[in-house]
Amino acid sequence: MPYTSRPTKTPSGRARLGKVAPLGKLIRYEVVGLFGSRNREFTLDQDEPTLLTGANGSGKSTILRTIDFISTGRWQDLFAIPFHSITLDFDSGMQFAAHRSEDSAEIYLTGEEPWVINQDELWQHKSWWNLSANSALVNVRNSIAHGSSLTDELFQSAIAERLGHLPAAERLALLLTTSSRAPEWIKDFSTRFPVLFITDQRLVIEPAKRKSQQGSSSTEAVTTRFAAEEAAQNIAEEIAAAQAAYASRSQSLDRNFPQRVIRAIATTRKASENELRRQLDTLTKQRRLLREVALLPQEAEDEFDELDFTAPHTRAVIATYIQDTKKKLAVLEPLRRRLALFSQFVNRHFEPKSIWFDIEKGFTIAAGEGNESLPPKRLSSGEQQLLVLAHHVLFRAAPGTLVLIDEPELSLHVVWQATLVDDLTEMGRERDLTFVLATHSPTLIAGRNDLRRSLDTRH
Amino acid sequence: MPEYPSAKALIADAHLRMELWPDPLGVIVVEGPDDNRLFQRRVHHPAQIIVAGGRRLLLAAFEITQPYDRDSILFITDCDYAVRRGDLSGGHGLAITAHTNVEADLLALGLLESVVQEIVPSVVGRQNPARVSEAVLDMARSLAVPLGRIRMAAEPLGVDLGFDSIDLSKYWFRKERTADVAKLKRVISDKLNANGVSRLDWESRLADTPEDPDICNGKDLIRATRLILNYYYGLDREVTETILTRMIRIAMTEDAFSRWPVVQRIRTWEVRTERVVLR
Repeated sequence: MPYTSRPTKTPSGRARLGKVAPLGKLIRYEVVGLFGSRNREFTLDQDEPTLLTGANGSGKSTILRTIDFISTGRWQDLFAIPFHSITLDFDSGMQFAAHRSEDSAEIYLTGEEPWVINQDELWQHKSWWNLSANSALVNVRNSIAHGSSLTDELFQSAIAERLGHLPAAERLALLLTTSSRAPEWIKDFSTRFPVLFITDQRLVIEPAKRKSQQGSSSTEAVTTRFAAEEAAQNIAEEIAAAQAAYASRSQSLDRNFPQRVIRAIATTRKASENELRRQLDTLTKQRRLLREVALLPQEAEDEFDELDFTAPHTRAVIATYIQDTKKKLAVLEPLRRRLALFSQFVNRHFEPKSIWFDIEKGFTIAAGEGNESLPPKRLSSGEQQLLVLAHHVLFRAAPGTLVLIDEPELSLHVVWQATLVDDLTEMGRERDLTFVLATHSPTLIAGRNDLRRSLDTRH
Repeated sequence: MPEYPSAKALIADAHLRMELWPDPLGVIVVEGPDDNRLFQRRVHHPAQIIVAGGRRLLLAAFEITQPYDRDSILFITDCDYAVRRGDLSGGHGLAITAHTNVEADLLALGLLESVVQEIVPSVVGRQNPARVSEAVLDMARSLAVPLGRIRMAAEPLGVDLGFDSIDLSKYWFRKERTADVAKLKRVISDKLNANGVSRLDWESRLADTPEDPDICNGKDLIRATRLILNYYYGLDREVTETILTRMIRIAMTEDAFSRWPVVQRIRTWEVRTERVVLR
């Protein structure tokens, strides 16, 4: 769980500096009055994905969205959904709650100052008058003629009248826009409760519009960005960042290598030749694994066979070299594990196609007898779905994240659906992730009623 | 609770899975996820196993399969008491357990022996684990056999007797190390009578039920085993029935797996159909 350095309060309410108390894993979700009348409650499995099921319109996707909105602090979006209250319980014992009524929104976290937003907020300041981002606000402002010259009393009554005509969601959105009194903990919330929402629209990233260079100003060309391509680009960036960190660690260690060698020579206790050769073998294997995922260049191995290990000073130099190399390679190891999991997963499912990592392109897919390179966007939609899911889980989710996936079975053949719960569990373990999947697929559920949480009231 | 909306959907799922594989690979359909775990590491591809999510749907799907389906899809289910009553029999495309259910089969394979070494190591240190396990099962059977008979006799009556929540300790004389069968019969008879079943009818049904040790339901046998281990061998109370069942399932060795009659039936089916399921 990420920490921030802002001052905060403990669950008991005492202010302290330093780390913000982590919320931990979400263990229970409850919504009351969803769409006016539905009450839903479920616990989350901490070891394997929780499977939300229910008829179309039962609220599966909406529930995922509410969790996402809460995590990302999109309060206007949250309160635009009709509900009375939402409660989240965390394994730290902390509880988050959001209450919504016609005229107010309230947000609570154990031990923290509540954030209550109601119409009284508007009377505190007229600064909202000049805000133009919110369409509802503009409508209210425009409908009150000569607002700036009104007395406070008339001003309040004019706004109250106009607000009364707005739908509840718009009224709350307006109040949230104008509220200036969000407590500090609200701003930290997303770092304390990291969530990654993988929607059912995951293959294409929102089109970026740009003006046509040749046509008139009204003509626009739309560039479609494929998530699979962005995954490749992101992996290229991850590899580049890891290599930069490796170079930095190497330079730092190389700067004082001579001094440490001299100290090692002066030390009476030297590692044995067998021990050193064993450690060199381990490094060779480690390098091979790193080369397989393009984290190290394909260059020749260091040569030690002809060195005379019997000389104590030689062993001291080699021992220092081994220690340094271990420290350098350790920088690459976390990314290597994730890349290896990614390639194992993709290769297992895409056979006979296979994935190759590439420092420039991130990865390429080799297909056909000649191992021709296939751009990620040319993969089938099912293959792209699988690839994008794996990329999100292994590379987009920070450690400890709650990953929400809406309809993970989309475009997947039943064979891939049948193993998806196990696949996600295995990949999620690397990053200590928990999952909630909203699904309609009996193949994916595979009888796991222990993981299933039905939103259908008949169950 | 079955997840598939219908038996046809389950069969369609099996067909779709097989279209992705080379010809010889077949599919097995099991009742629940615990059965899935037993086979998962022993098949060529984990998706070769379909979990029906219940016996009723599994049998309904088997009923609607075409003869050619039974050459590529093998259904595996508990024997339950339907076989003894003549309502069900194994056959081409349907492999049933040798005893009432998978748990009873696993105990018959001798898997309790390795489990007792884990859960009551101090006792096993002094005594032969095989003897300990046999002595435990002997006592457990004296409780599970009458329970099994009652299950079988009561099943057609359709009365929910809540067998899985019966407190077995109430029907066991701890000092004498024997089951209080009379009390068990009396309590069940009272429950049935309250549900409109005459005592005479019940007595007659029960008298017609076989008394052999294989009448035991595996779940009863495990619960009774846990009680005996707890009373006389110092088993920690935290080892619940669920934990004990899981341990017995995990204790399945390759040797025991190959001796399991269900596996032998799968192998026979593989030879006959030239389909491959197990490694």
